[in-house]
Amino acid sequence: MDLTATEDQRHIRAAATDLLTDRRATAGARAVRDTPLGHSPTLWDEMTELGWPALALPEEHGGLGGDFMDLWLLCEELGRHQTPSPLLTTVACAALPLARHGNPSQCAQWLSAVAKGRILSYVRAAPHGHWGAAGSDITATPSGEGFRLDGTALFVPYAQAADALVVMARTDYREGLTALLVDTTTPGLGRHRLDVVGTTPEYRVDFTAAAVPASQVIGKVGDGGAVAETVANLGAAATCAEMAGAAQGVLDMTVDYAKTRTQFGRPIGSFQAVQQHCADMAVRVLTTRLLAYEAAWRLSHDLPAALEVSLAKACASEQYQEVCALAHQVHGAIGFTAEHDLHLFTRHATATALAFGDADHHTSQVATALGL
Amino acid sequence: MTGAHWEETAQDAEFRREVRAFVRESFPACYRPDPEAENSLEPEDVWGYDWPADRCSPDPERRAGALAWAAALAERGWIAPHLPAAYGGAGLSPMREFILREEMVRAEVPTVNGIGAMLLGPTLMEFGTQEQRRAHLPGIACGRTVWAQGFSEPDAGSDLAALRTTAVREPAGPAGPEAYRVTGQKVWTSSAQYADWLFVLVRTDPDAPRHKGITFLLIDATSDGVSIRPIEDMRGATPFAEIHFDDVRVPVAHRVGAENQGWYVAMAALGFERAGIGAPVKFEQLLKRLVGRLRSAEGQELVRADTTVLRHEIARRYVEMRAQYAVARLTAAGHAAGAVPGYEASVSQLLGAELHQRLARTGARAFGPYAQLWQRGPAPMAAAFAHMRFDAVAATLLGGTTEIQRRVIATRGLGLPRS
Repeated sequence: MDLTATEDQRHIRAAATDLLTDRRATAGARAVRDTPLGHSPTLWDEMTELGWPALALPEEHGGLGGDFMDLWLLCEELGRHQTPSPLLTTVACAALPLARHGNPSQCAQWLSAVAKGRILSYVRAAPHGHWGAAGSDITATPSGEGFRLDGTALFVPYAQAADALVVMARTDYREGLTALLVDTTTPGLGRHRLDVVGTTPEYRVDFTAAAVPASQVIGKVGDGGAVAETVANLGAAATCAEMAGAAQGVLDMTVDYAKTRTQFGRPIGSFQAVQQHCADMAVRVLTTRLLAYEAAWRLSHDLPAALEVSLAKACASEQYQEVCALAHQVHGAIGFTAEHDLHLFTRHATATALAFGDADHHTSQVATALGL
Repeated sequence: MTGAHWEETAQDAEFRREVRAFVRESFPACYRPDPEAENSLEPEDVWGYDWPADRCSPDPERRAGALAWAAALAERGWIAPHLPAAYGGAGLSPMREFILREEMVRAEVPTVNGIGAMLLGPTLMEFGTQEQRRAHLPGIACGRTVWAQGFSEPDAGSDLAALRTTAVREPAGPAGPEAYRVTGQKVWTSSAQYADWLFVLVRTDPDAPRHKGITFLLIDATSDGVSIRPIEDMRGATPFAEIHFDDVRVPVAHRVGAENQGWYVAMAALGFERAGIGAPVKFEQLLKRLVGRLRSAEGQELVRADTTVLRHEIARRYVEMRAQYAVARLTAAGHAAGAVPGYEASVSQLLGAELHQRLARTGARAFGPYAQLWQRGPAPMAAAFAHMRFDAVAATLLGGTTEIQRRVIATRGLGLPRS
């Protein structure tokens, strides 16, 4: 086993750091918070120019032929720099599941579109407050040449920016879910921004007799559960990347502060209590990153990864929040102010802990895998 | 540069199979521990072995088992697998050594000569003279010479540099070649009562700054003036001892590294020690046994009613174990890539110690009131967790308190200023 990065991976990471550091003022979480789309389209265009959405997609559909790990590295840097971006949603939650489950014409149309900068999002499975991949609040009723969608979904990321949504719906006449690709210009589809704690823009999407042609079914009618599972696994693993990068960012920021901030005539980092907090943060960041990396590595090699994804997300959901709490303790009052960036991470930690299943959900998955 | 990957190579997988087959064929049946025997172990040992004690055991079967196991390992160079073959090792790469140790723990068989092989072996390779390597490494690698590490003193535990055992240089004379006269006391020395040799830190320059007046010496435990007394712990076991040095003559040739440079030699030695793989694998084995027991018909009767809490608690321990395992693999990978042992060892030590205590509490809790049964016979899982509960009390103290590990992480790992 070798955990050092490849040459390519180091280039990807370095290029991402350069761009995101440079655009922090115009495209970081603070800059885009109150904009209609919740991200910077200018930065998205730059990312597309650099090939970010295309990186992990297959070459025959306009991609660059990289793997999930390449996307993971980009997500890690987006988290570290607190840059809201539809990259994770578009690629991990829609394009890659489409590449795995979609038919050739869907792949030909949408993967090349994503490579050129079109944005996708997804309407998650699971009714109401649950995270499992069973059930849906959206119904698909056969109608004419396709389906009529009805229902309301919450927490659809970047819905306003998206050109199409991967929707998990249930059908009355068939067990299981059905995954459909729904154009966001479809009449009967409404999008309303939610006021949420996190930095990712989240939407309520209403479907009122929205007509979707049968050609837009991903895989087969009734086989959407597999698509939902792919979305959940890739989404959770990419979110762990964001969390690991962000937790590292919080640690770096806190250590810098502890070295320079003086109290009682000494840098506070020389006090044992502060050192202990920083050491605990470092241990939490390291374990979060290692488990997240292991899950992503398995996913990018098409190995079974459900347990590793749950280990990673259970760990990240608790540790990132704890890292933020310790960072606040070291920063004191300045970290509680709106002008300081720490609160952006704390918001992000709260929201990402809930994305794709919280620690309890994934801990329960681990218990099941252990045979409990 | 090679790619980052988590799966091992086909050759490493083959080596893993070779180790498994070796253990299956070579581990002496008479050396399997009696599951009902009271243990008398270092807190991190949970399988009921104490190899240094077992090789001097009054029970002939146990003694024969310990010696036969050492001989079987020595034949392959696997007691000190990282040492060159010329010194009785197998010249294994760090990754192979990691696999070997991992498989031995999975097979629930004991490490032989751990302190000598894992601490002193690499230390002599890095800092020892050619004569010292030739004199001591073969004995370590064949399991003949058992070593104990004398660092802590009554007033210098976590503050190791406060040590006061003194060594005064004495010219060659009728008593022998040039030597140090050592006087003072060591304490909490693991397995010292079974050791043939000791490696100790002594103060050679009382006027120098604390870290700069310390020297690293090898001392024959049978030298005149050395007395060793076992100390009983809260479990009634005697895993450690105190050592008194009363004017002990130690030839200058037994010094490792330069005079007054012993602190740096010792820190490197501790770096070798703490990067262990053993703990997470042992814990995982124990956790899996617990799960198996809870799933059995008898386990279902014993288990607490509020199983949702328990199942989450067990799953959390599993997440923590996998995290600790990942850190151990990272450390081994870093070692393989030529990195000098750094603060990662402290991360492993810290994670392992706290997890040990949490796991013991989780396991004991699973059996409700039965968790108070100390006697192994009638207790679920032979009271493994009730015993572990007390074995683990010292986990956050031994080898440096967890506060000290955090301090190492903060200052050496994160670069925070020293207090």
